[in-house]
Amino acid sequence: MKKYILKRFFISLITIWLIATCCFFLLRTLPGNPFATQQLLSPEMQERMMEYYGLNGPLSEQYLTFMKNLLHGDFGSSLKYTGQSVNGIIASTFPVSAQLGLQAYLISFPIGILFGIIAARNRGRTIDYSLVAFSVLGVSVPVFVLASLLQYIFAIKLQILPVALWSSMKHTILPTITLAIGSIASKTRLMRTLMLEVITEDYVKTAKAKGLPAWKIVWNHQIRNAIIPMIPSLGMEIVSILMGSFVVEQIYSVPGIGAYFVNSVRSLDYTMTLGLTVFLAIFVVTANFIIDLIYGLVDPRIRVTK
Amino acid sequence: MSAITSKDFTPLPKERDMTDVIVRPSVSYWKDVFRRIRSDKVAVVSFTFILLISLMAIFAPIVCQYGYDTTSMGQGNLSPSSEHWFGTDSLGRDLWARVWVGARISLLIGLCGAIVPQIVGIVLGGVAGYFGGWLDMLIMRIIDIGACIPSLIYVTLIMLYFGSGPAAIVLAIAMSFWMDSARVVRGRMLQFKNREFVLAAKTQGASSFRVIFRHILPNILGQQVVSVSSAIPSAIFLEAYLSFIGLGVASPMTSWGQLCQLGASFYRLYPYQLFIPGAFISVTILAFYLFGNCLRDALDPHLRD
Amino acid sequence: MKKALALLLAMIMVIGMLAGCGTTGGGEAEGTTSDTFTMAYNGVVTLNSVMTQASNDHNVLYLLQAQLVRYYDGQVEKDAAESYEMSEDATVWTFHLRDGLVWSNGEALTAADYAYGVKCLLDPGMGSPQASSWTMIKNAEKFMNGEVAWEEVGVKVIDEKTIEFTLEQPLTSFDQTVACKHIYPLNQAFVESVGVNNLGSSIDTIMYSGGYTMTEWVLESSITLQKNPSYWDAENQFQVETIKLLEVEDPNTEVAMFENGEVDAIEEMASQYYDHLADYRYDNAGGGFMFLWMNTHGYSEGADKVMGNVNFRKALSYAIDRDATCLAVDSATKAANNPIDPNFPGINGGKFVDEYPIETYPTNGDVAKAQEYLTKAMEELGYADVSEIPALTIVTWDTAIQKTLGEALTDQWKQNLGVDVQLEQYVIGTAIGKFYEQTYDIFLITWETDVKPTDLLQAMTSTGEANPGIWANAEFDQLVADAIAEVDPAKQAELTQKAAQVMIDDAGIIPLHLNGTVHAKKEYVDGFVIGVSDGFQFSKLVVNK
Repeated sequence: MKKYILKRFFISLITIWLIATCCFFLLRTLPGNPFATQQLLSPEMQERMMEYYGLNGPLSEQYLTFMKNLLHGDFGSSLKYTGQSVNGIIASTFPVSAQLGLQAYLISFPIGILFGIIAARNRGRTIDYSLVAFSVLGVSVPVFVLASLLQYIFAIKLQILPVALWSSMKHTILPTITLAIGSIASKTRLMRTLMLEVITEDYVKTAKAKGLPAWKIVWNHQIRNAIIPMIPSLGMEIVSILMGSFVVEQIYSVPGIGAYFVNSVRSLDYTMTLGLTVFLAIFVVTANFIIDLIYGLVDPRIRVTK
Repeated sequence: MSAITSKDFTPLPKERDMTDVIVRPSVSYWKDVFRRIRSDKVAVVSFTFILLISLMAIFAPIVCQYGYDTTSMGQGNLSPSSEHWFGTDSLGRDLWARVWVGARISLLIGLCGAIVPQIVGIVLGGVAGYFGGWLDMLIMRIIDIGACIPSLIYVTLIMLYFGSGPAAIVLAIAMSFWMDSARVVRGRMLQFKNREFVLAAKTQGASSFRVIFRHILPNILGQQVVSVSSAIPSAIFLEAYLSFIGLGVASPMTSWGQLCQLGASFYRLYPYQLFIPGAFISVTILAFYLFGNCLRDALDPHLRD
Repeated sequence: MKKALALLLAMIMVIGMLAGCGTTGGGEAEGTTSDTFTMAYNGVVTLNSVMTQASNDHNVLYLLQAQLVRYYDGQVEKDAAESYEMSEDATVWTFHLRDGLVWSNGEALTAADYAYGVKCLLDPGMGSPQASSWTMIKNAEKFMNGEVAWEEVGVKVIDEKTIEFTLEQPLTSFDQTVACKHIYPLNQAFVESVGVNNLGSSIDTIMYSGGYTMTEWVLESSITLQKNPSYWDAENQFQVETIKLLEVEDPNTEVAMFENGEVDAIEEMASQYYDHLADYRYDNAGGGFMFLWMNTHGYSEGADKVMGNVNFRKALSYAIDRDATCLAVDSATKAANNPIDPNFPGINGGKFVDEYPIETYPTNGDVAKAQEYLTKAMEELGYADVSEIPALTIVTWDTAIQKTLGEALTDQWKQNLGVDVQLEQYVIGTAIGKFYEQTYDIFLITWETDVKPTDLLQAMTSTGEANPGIWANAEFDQLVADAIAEVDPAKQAELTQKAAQVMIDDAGIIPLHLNGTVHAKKEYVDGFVIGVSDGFQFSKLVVNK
């Protein structure tokens, strides 16, 4: 087991290095210039700026500098936001996005699972239909429509919640709910499907035949097995919640990392895009590393062979 | 006791052989699926709706008297009327025409964006899960790496390289979706490959090909069909999301996502500009979802009699 | 499943009812006191006065620093300078500072700080993008290229309270240039201690000399400013105690916050909401133009002939109904048929464009004339039918207004002339890259009008900064050069008028509209002045809530 963990750790490191390298070269081959803006700096002036930021030298040299800084945990400074280090921007924006994502996740995971179980256990009854209806509605409304709608109802018409911004717990309610609804809906759907599959499995029949009490069957044999296939997608879910929150962040003016990410890609702010990508990659790789270990422990049918 | 000779036996009449013959035609798996779907009202209704929308998307713009990109400056932001069934946008373009042209793009992106990555995912995920070893390692590493790069990066890079056409969007969606299904398929493959029926098939000398396609895939397929049905809306949404951040299809071409996004920024003033395309997105997704569900029930080997 | 559908419908109806009922209109939020002014304001990138290149940053810097002179309501107003004068030949300008100028930390604010501020803009080692705005100062360009030492440049500190600028050429409007292009003081010791690149990156890396000090800044989110008691005229100007700037990007959100009273003003309203907030509307048109840049060499296959043909270019220009387009795309913009900003004063007390009019296309277009020009062009080029004209491309970047405008233009060319022009949009870095590479037939671009009529025309000459070499007209170049060198105002105006006429006649650069912004402010806010090209002028702002 120790050997396996070490190996996985080593692989994670290589993964991060590969991502950083690929992104570095891909970004730098994009057409355009980060200093070409509406103010129409002359090409000479742009050249001068490139030089000032050390973007003029040979790519391999820049790459080595970038890697050296990366090893020291330094992502460099933004090209667009003069004087702002990428580290500083991450430090101030990531906690906000993480809080939003975490809140949404903490709401959506148990509720989604619970709804899914209830729906599957009551297949064909009214409660099943209403939960299915909710899950359809939840996934059929685009998030920017949902966000606008919730904002309109609760902040503009009823005026019980703030329209936007991120300064108190009250401000976080609407963005969290907006982000959570879609997630609850899709989890309900997935959990219901998985539960329905599990219910007809042989081991469930065996358990029933053995005369186990119903709650024990549900808990030990159904839920546990139904949840397992949901685990590996957790890592990707983290990414999608972080990214998906961009729209929510924009509509509710939440000072999160999403806006920076989108804007940096669009304004060709290489160092910022690279820094944010590598940071998120490290975050996700770490999460996946942990999830993989858990996955191996939870599902007895998947054995670590080597 | 005398020895038994051939004389002691008399041949049975030929007709007796017929008892082994199955009189009723054999119902193959897919025929069975088709039969189930046909008998399911919800499936028929949703499928008809999808067909109708597709036909409208193809033909409505051809017979419409207004061009989707024909502006009419004085006629901006008109509410729906007998003249303009869905009203007009800020440049006076007829929204009826635009909605159907947008449907083409959205449906195309939705379908291709769901099916292309699913096929890639099933093949790669299946191979990785079944054979394991270095192949699994390689594919999983690619997925690990890919999953860690936010899809927005590829999407933007692809858009910047190939221009912002529908093909670029499908490519971008495919690149970010295939990993999801590959991972799931691999996980399911791992679950199934050590199961008794697979073992039984193997001991009887079934080839890997037969084991994968005959025994494991049908078990996985139900799940994957459901995930295609949820990938179509996801693909339509991803397109809308791209439109929202300004990376959608190039103008004057449009899509439901783009129409919605334009309408969303001032829905309080001209609600129809958001809610008409919004309703189309929602109902279409609903139809795909319901149809996918029925398909799942029909495909699931567990439910087979 | 039927039940599911029924429930779905029921849920939609409930939500619809919730949305439909409720109270209308916005009551004012409680807790805001009259000494706080909150505004929705977007796009602050850096408060480094050396490295900024956006007017949004300058607006905040206006509140933080005492400039030599600044604009108020279209007039140059003295700020840190108590008086200033120019020499008789208009090449030497001397500014005298007031008594008792101090930085917010108590240090004396001297002429040396202003001189150092200019030095930072020009210093090649600092890479300021504003350097090219100050080439009128003597030897500035040579200093930028590292050819001469700073001592040779025409910026001199005479004594603690006097700073003198020597110019390359006579310039009677240098005070306007200073006000428009902004000279902020910088304390050399402080800048060197924090490093020029870190300057203005947080509240601790700025020294304040203006009406406000910054107490909180969350990038892309909010800025909080507190009145600076050590500002030289703290008693009379900048009376609002606290100014809060909130970055809110979504137009619905912005308007909702305004209606709820969470913000007192919106700096830039989305065009669709103009009528909705008509009572609070505060318009601004001018400060810059939207242009069509015609690449006379063409880029698409076979386009060099058509794009090189003046009649074809004119046909494209006449085919556009600018009035209707402006109204449909953004009603704050104003159709333009003259490259001279109508806000510029003439020399006889009127407006320049009225005193020196030019002959040009009507702003509502003229389809018959456009077709006439097209026929003429096709005859000259030997095309029998419009369909033989090669497909052209129009390139621009990807903001919403550029998109709708591009769609409106291409469709009008298609409808009125049958000419096929493909719209291509890119992210700004790529689009501007293409602008310089000249990989387009037509480019849709905006350009600021600056201080005087000739500023914009100068940028359009074959060597100008806004012209990468896609259109050249020797007569135009000469007229502009003569106009700039001319000292006599009447003659200068005439030359400018002629140059504008040549530009319109040759249709290399075609003005489309004058840019515009619409602000919204609550009725209890007074002294809310935002200049056309010179930004915030909040020195007399009051909130009477």
